[in-house]
Amino acid sequence: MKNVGESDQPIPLPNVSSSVLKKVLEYCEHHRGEPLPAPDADTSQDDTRKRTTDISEWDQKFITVDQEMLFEIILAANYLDIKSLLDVGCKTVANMIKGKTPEEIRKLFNIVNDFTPEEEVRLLALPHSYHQLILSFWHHQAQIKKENEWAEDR
Amino acid sequence: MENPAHLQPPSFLETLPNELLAKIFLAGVDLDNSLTPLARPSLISYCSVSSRWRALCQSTPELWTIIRVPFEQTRHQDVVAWTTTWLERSKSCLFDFIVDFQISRLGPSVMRHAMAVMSALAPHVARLRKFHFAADQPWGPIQSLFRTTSNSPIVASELKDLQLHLLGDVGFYLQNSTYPICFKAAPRLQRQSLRSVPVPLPMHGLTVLRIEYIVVNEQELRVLAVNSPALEELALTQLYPSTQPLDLKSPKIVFPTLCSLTVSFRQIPRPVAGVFALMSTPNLSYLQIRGICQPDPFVSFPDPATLTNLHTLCLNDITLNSSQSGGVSRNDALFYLSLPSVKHLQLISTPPQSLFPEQDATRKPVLKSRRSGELRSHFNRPSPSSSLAPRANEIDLQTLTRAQWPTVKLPLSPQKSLSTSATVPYNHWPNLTTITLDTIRAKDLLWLCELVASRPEIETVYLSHSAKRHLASSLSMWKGDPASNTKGSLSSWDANLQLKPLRLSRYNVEHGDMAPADWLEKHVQVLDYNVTK
Repeated sequence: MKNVGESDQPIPLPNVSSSVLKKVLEYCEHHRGEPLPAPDADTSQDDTRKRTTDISEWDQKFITVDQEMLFEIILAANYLDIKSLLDVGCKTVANMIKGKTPEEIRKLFNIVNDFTPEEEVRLLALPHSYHQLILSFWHHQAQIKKENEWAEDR
Repeated sequence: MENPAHLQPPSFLETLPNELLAKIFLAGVDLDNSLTPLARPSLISYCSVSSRWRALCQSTPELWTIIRVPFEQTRHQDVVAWTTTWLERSKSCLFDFIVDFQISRLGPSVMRHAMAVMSALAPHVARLRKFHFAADQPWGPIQSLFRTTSNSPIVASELKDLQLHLLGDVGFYLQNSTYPICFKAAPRLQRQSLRSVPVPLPMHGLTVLRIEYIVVNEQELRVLAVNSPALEELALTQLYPSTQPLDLKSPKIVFPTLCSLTVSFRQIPRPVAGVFALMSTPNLSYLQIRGICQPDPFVSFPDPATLTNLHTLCLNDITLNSSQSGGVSRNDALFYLSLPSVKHLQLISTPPQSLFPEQDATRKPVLKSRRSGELRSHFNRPSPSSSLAPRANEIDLQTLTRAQWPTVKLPLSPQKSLSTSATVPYNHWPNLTTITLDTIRAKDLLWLCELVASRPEIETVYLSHSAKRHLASSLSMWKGDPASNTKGSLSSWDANLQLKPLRLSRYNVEHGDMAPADWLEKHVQVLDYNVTK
């Protein structure tokens, strides 16, 4: 977009619907004048990276939309290279997933469980595999939870 | 597998390209960092949702760069496999390695697995970005873990953040030793936090240094200043006082960029000069003094007159008393009152009354009845002495000095006569705009309300949970008898508040009892203070 420069010519945005564009413009209008986030340049390699996990109150309200609109906004923000909006969208989805079991995640986003029965069986059968480790982890967590509940009841 | 795909409603999430789904996963991993170590890593859930999610996770090394070794959460024999998996999946990315080794019984089996974890780490040390190791064990039995890999002469070339926190209160000396860890050097180390472990010297290029349980001598401090000239934050806590004599006329130890200094002592220092008194810190903006073992501040800390940029003073668990030094009586509060630029005062479990003198006992509002929830005041009784006279007249500067102390000279009004000073109560620290209060004493909250009433420049108050609870439930403020709305029957609160120019109309719009919490929120911004110890 930055290569377009000043022009009276219309800029086609075939991948962004008008309702989504309206939302994106609302976001941009609200955040107009704010400093741009630092470029993405290899931040994952930098120990000083400080990804904030907080979403401002206004942004939270702004992004409280149905799933279709949410993912359209994420796609539009990516297409239009609006990093801060993309971050807000990704954090929002991450927050929706947080603390949920795989089954709950599938249900929330209508995702099909496409693991084959063999894969599922393998998860249970292979000792000391990574997935066995996962099961062990969950079992341990459940055990802790049960013990805590028991202690609280006492 | 229960619902065939064609019967499923559309999944909008699945329309995202892998690149964006990976960004969501990264955001989820970041969220994990704010959770307790016991929380289930999001990656585990992601990998079990669908084959697409699993494949994406496994092929995105950035997702595997914060490795929390789950000694607490997982069977010990599985921890090695866990660690190896994460290390391998992080591929060539720099990574954080966090071990919370809270094992109360350190048997041979546990140690064997812990050593296996450290051995698994060794080949990847060149990619290590952050290493945090905490254990509820002393250095003695734990050091063998680090010896396991110390034979391999690996330089942790990317390590910037090292934290080793062990159990124990043995005072270590700073010493010329190698790093007690599985590498021989860390040339890019910037942040170092050590507790109850041997402290290596020299420490080059640090910007943040936190050490607990050591003995600090002048020589080591000089070495630190020379080798870490860009040091910005220094926290030396639970210190054992040095027994070496100190000459305060020695050249200053200059820390040109130091902004934050936190100090506490493990033992009550002897009445000799402390090494911090030799420090020159022209850019110090934050000073925290913590703990009941307090040295004489006049000979233990930098000269307050030189701390012209110090805007935040935090007194944590401090009781300011008078002391005898060389037969001369002195008041420790004077040191803090001499700091010229304090804007933000943080009082954590520290009674404020020594810094801000109490009113005359016969006039001070008292409260105390949790049962009735009412603030009772000597001003409840209409009295000829209660009037709208300026609040300053109610406070006698004599209260600045307790009977056994010498007269306090307020630092910014040294020339003022007693009568002049008495016209403006609490007139020291004229730049003060923020108060942080963590207390369980209702008395301190009353003090806060009085201070806010008399200092209109105070804009923000941070209150801890317990302070807020007291303010909301233990106190209520009597503000005068609405039936006798005359100047002569106003309570001290009313009289005080009338002084605040912005609140002149307050009396006209508020009648009857009111909660101090409401009162405070009307006058200043009240924010939460999150206690982190």
